[in-house]
Amino acid sequence: MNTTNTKKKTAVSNRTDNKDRPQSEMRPTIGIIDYGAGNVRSVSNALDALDARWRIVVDRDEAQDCSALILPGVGSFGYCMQQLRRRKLIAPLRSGIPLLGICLGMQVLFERSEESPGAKGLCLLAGAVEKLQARKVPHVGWNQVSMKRPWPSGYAYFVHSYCITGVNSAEGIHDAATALGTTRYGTCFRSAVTQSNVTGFQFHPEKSGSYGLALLRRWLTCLPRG
Amino acid sequence: MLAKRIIPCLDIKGNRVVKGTRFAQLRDAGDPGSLAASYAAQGADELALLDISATGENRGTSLAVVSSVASRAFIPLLAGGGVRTLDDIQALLRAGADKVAINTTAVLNPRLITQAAKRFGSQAVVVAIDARRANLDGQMPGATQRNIACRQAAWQVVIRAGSEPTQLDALWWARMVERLGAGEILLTSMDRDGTRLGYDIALTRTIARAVNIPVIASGGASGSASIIAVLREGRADAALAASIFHYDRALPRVKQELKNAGIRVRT
Repeated sequence: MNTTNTKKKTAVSNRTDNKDRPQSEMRPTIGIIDYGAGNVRSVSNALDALDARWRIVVDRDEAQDCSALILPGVGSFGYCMQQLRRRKLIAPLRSGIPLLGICLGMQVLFERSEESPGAKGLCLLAGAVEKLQARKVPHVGWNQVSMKRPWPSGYAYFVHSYCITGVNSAEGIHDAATALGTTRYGTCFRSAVTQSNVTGFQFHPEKSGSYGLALLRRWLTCLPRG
Repeated sequence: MLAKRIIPCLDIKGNRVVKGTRFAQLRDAGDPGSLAASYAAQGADELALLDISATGENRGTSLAVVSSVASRAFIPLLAGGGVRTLDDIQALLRAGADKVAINTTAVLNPRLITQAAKRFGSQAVVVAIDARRANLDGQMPGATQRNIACRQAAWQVVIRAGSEPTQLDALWWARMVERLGAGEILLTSMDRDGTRLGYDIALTRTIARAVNIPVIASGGASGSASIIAVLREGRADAALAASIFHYDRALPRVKQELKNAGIRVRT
């Protein structure tokens, strides 16, 4: 990985995988996409806590032998897509392996966003990302997520200014093909989505305490072994 | 609607958690990683890590402490203390902080607030204001006789970990940091810090009503009643406390009592 930012003498480790940890059985390797803008450490910390095997993925080659990918997102929709394209990560993300998008990483699963007109998303899910309609934007803090059973509902930590609405009532959104969870902030939006191999969380499961870890664990247990 | 937050604060000095009274008389209160993990398990909504020795001893916040806490507590993390440059902020965010508090430097170099908000997003930029009740003598910029005439009290901003009073009026400064791009204000009453006399409700309400960004109230927590008061009458979005959580397992009880009082909290 690119280590130009590595500080000379900080005690902060810059690990790119956790292969050193004892492996009790063959577990899937989760690739955490790092396109340079986001803080991937909190995601890898959470995977460590769940005893999952992970590696940091900065380009296409490193995505090769991963059996699932996590796309954490920070920055803008357009910048994220530009970076993914530059690192030739679009193909691996669209390859059909299990994929979890977090925050902006969930938004780029869709086709386009009001945030970056003209920028094309990963188009894995149908729909567009809109500006959040609320008194205070960004939406920062703990808010309630109502999930479809058997996924648990609870409070999750959000930081975002754009969202995927769909229809304007909780019931209606639950009818939408991809809606897994909904949250109300000004308007009602899709806070979690899923469709075949693709899952997205608008909130940060890696920052949502035991509830967030429970959601990540659930996603991990659905992955194929090996 | 957002839940009100309870934020245990770890004052860090030399990689240990310490607790003092009115910014002095420090005592050892434990290992940051263990305390953080324990608070997260007890239902803390966020953790604040403030390196109180950083500015005074002219060194950066201990990244190792932030990193160790971030690997053990999976909740939002606010780090601060001795933050002077964009690089300091970036290093803390990379170490695992979600937000960075700027205090002394925000006063000395307000442009840093704007630059940081542009680069990392306003949600990552918290301006910490240490405020102390001041005489209504109109000596502070922004606190002219005319605009404090309708106020009951005024508070002055103090920097360098409470050691250097400025001539800034806290209300004027709070409005200013919002305009400059701060995403949140961490407001500490120096008069109440570590006293367990309750939060400074008047100070908190004055600031919280004047800005549209969340205000974290700090200084003086004494129990559930004081937290309920500062979230209700003080209009704070979050309550930060250290001493009441350090020495006993009070956090789950406090959250339950808030919930019983009808305050929306994460459970």
